[in-house]
Amino acid sequence: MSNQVSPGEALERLFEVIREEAVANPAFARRLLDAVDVTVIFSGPDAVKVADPILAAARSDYATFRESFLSFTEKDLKSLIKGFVLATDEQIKGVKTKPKQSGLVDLMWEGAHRKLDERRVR
Amino acid sequence: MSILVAIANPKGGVGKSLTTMMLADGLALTYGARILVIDADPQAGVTKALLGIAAENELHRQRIGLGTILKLFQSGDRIRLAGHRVIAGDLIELRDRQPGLIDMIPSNHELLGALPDFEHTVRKKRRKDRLDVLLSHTLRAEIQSIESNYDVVLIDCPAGPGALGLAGLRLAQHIIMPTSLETNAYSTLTDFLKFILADDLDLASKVRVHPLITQYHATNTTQREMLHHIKQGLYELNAIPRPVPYATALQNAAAHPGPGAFRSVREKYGNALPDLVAMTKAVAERISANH
Repeated sequence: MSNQVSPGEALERLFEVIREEAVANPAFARRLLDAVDVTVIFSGPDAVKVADPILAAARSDYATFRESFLSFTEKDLKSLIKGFVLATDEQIKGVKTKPKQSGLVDLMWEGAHRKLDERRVR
Repeated sequence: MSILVAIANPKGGVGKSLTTMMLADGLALTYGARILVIDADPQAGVTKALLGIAAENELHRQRIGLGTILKLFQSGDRIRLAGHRVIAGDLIELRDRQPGLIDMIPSNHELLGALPDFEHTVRKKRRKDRLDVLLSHTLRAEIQSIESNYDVVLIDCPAGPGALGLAGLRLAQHIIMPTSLETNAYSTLTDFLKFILADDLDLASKVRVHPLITQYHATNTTQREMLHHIKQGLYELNAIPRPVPYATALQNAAAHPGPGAFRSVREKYGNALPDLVAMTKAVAERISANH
């Protein structure tokens, strides 16, 4: 078997691996799409894997942010808050709203803005 | 006229000397550029990285370096950078390639003591001048006398808020600001950028600042997330998009075993060679934009 392939074939094989990875890995797909500045709405179980509250807080207002995240389950919201280190366990436990999602989304909004303020240059 | 680039960040341990070494090697090898490296750091990180520890000790013994220059200045001599240049490009590709070369003004720990003595001397003569302003004026005149020999002058600034670091910033047209994405390093970077932009030093309109992410751990999810945000422009950082990874190969490249130890850039940088080339090209694009 020869190892020699045309440049077109080589690129096709490479892109096929990237395509397969993007299908299997939503976070990777989101990074690819962000790189080319394309907005795609993820839904279902993939949504929580690609959700980035800091990016969302930077790019949307409070109402849009709430709308984007209120449909998430309580478990997914807690996982996002912990994953992006947006609040402490005590703060999460302190959320008493009914439904809890509402308070958790607010906590996420505040945490995301705190991070943005800390990291922004001006 | 050469391009003056300071590699600066008040925080230590973020990779300033490593970045300076990579830029010197990368620009000389990739573009055949003629490079002068001025080591303004008493820790002499880039002197050790480009020449080796034994050579640094020997140069100290021979009284060659920035510390000696400052000491001679106190005793009435002119600051003569030209007489303290040493050849620092010892890779075979570099020696064989014209006109690419690396010269350097080395440093050593003598600089730590030389700077307060220098300050004491100038205070006696010119009480009103800030030390960093005086240093930058004095060094600028000397750099101008030799800069026609070079395409790029790289100034490796020391950590901390000292006069030498500020003088380096005053001399430069571009500041490459290496930073890791570790929390303290990143917050120092943003504070330093705010300090420069606040124009206390009258620098904001004179220099262009290019943060460079160093010691990047691709497996660290927090760092990956931050890099993604930086690339998306969330933090208004204008950072060079390609980070320098935390890599054993780069640590080994900076541990110079002595003249002639590395025969080729591939031998020196190993599997970090693509990172050297990518970083060099990204920086070259930035610093050549206005020239």
